[in-house]
Amino acid sequence: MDVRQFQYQILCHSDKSYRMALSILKEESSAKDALQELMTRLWEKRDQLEAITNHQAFVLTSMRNLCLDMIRKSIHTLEIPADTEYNAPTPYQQVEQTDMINHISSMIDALPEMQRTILRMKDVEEMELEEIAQIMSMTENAVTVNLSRARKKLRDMILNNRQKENNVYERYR
Amino acid sequence: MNGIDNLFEKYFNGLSSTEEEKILKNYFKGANVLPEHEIYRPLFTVFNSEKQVKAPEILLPEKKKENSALTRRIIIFATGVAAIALLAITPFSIIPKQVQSTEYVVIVNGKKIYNQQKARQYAESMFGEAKKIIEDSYQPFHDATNIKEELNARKILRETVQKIEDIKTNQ
Repeated sequence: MDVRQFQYQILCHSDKSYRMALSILKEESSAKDALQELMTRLWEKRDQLEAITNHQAFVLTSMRNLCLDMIRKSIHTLEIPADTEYNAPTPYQQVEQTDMINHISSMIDALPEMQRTILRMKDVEEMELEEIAQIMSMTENAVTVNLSRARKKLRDMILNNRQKENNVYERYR
Repeated sequence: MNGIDNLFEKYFNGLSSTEEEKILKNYFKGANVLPEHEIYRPLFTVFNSEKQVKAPEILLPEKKKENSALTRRIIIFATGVAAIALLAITPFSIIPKQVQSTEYVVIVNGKKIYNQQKARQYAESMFGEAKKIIEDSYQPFHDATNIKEELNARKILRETVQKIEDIKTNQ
C-alpha cells in the first residue's frame, strides 16, 4: 500500500477514529495520542493492509482496541463501571454547566463504554447496525439491545434532570 | 404528530432505521418542534455538534528506517572505500623525503611500519574488514531475495502439481 492508497483507504477514517477515541478516552490529548499511535502503527504495517476488505471497520475496531488497551494500562483510569448511575449535577454545578450541549455530552460519557460507543457510532456517525456489529464483534441483536439501553438511559437522565430542575424552581419560587 | 411520537418510540427502543433517524434529526432542525419534544432537542444537537469534531493532523513517520538504513550503507561503503584509498596512497604520500628512496615506510595511526610484509598483512586485514562490513550491510538484501525465491508461487504450484502427479502415478 503506497502513500496515496493509505491516504484514501486508511487516513480518510481519521475523523471517525478520533471521535471514537474521544468517546472512549474522554480526554482530548489522550485521543490525539491514540490517533497518532494507531495511524503510525498502521502505516508501518501498510503492506499487510491490502488484504482487508472493509477498511473503515478495521480502522475503528483497531482504534477501539487501542483505546481499551490504553485504559487498561492507565493507572488512573477514567473508565466508569457499567453499573454506575449518572448523578445529575447540583444546582450550583448547573449554573457552571449552563451549556446544555456539554450537559448532554457528559450524560453520554457517563454511559458504559460499550453503550456510548455504539450510541455514537449509530447517532453521530450514522453507521448501519451490521457494521457496528462487525466493529464491536457482536451480533446485530446485541447491538440493538445495547443501543436501546443507551438511548433509554439518556432519556431517563434527561427527564430526571428536568424533574430536578422543576423541583428546584418550585422550591425557590 | 403521532408519526413523530411513533418514531421516538422506535428510536428509544433501538428499532428505528437510519432513514427514520434522519427524519428525527431534520425535525429538530426545523421550526415546528412541539413543546413536549423540545426536551430532546439538545440530544440531537449534541449528535450533530459531535460530528463536526475533526481529527488533528497526523504525522506519519517518513521512510525513516529505509532512509537511515540506506544512509548507513552509504556511510559504511564510503568508509570502506576511504580506508582502502588511504592505505593505497599512504606509502607514496607520507613517506619522509629523506627515506623515500631507500626505505619502505607506512604510517598507521602515527606509527611507522618499515616492514613491507607487515604493512601488506595489515592492509589485507583492513581490506578484509571493509569487505566484511560491506557484505554484512548487503546481507538483508540477499535474505530478502532468498525469501522471495522461496515464496515463488509458480515454483510452489509446480512442485505441488508434481507431487499430485507422483501420488497419482503411485496409485
